[in-house]
Amino acid sequence: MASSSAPDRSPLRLVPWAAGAAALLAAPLAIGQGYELHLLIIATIFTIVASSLSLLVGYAGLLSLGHAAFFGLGAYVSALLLLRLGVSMWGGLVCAAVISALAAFLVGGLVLKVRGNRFIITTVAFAEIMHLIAVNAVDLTRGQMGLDGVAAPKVAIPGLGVIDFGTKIAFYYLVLAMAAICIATIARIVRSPIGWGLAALRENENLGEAVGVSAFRHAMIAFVVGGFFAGIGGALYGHYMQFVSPDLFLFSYTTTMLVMVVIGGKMSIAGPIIGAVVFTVLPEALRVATTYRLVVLGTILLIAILVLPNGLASLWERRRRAPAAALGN
Amino acid sequence: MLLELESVSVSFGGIAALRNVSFGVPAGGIVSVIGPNGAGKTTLFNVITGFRRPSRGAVTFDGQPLAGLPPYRIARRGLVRTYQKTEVFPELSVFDCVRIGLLNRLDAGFVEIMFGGGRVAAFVEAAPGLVRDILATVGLEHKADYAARELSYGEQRLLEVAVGLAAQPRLLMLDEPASGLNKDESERLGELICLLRDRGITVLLVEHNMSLVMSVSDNIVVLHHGEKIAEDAPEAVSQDPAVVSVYLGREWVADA
Repeated sequence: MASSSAPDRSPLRLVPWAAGAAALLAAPLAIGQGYELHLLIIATIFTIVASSLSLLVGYAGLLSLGHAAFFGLGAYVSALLLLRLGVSMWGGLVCAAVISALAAFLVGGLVLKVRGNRFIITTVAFAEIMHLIAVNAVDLTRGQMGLDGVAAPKVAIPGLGVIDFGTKIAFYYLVLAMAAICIATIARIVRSPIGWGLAALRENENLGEAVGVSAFRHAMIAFVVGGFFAGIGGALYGHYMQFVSPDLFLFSYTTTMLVMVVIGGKMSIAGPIIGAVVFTVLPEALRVATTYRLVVLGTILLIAILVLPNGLASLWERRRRAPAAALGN
Repeated sequence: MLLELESVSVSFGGIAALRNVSFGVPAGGIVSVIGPNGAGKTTLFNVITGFRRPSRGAVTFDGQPLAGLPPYRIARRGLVRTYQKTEVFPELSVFDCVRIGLLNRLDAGFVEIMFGGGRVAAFVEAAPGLVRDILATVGLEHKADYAARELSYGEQRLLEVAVGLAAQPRLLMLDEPASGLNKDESERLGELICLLRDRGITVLLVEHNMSLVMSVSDNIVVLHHGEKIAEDAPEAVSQDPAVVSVYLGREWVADA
């Protein structure tokens, strides 16, 4: 753990973040508006989803194997509002976030009093139930056929003309803004007294309770905020792909999110970002190896876990901390 | 009485761990609970702090019944415990461990912490100074940046007391704080306990180290097979024939 008695308050610590933000804003100039931008949009959406999962799996120490439930729920809420009630994406995003958070609140109320295995199993079951509803409520969801025509809106801004969020470039800046809000919120939570409570929950919940930290309350905060942003991520994904299907609830999505969090670094703000980018780009880059693609991917995963138990983000964080260690701690 | 137990009984299955135990802890006092292993001391702690429900009987703190309250709510009222088996937040720095204890002093919900200003900001601002004061009190100020798991056993026990102190207890319950400490360390612990009392913190102590118990306690409660067999001042307890036969043994009396 970093030495918190002397927090790094120097403005220099923000330099990498500022440089990263500038690079992301300018990225479309460099990579164009084709397939590479598409990958960047997907990576940014998964940054939102993976960051929301890191709050649970990383900071709160709660293993959720059903995060795709909130991702898919958000996608369906926003898609159905648009297609059935004519609510635009903006209203859809808000409703997706709120309803996913509400679902997390209800599920959490049932199982977060007793955490551990029961919680893990329930998260899996919840995602499976959502999947079954999406498949079987055919009148509402069109079942396995999914919902197409999940359009993104055009917005007229006086003096600037019309922004069409159906274009990659406009959608890119939208997901970038959403990711910034998500990351800033999570960073604020984990650095606030709520974050101290999450650390107590993760490290030793009995001791935390003995000094007044409610394990249930902190687990609930992590779960609900995690559901909130997963819902936003799902809604964005649906409007970007313009299509949602029951597949969004599948365990493979949860697995992808978990891999991004764990390999990226589950206890750092940068970790899920790195994980989302690497595990969006890597599978594409490995297409050259067609037959052996999954074998190579699996091998990389295994090596990463063995060599970097704290994730890829620990590579540069370790370096940053090195001078302090040299002083004899 | 700040803390009062009335006919508290606990049974696991058919086995009684505590039978009709009643005693009180006066505000500002130091009361110790002693007894052989298996006498029910840790069960007693778990009942008082809400980790276990009594089968019968009542615990009141500052005149309020504690029945049915979860542990963190009991801690919020100022009744804070440490554990027999050393419990810290292993991967956190010593500083961060103590800071978690401070949360007991903050009464703010999620929305206020995230979006509120003044009160929470003032709390966060004051935290480092408070943590340093508490670490200085227990003598761990030079270890602030170490991970809790890196501390020696004795230091971890002091860290537990520091985490408890951060929670601003009115009554601090210490479960065998001197176990595993050497003579110097346990003498320092005794001084620390007296210092806490002088600062207005009432102490309930479970301890096997008799020289520590005898030197700091105002009153001693003796448990045996889940029953209270004596409750008196240290000198009187050490002379009590029943206590001597079940627990202290003749040698101890000769030493004293």
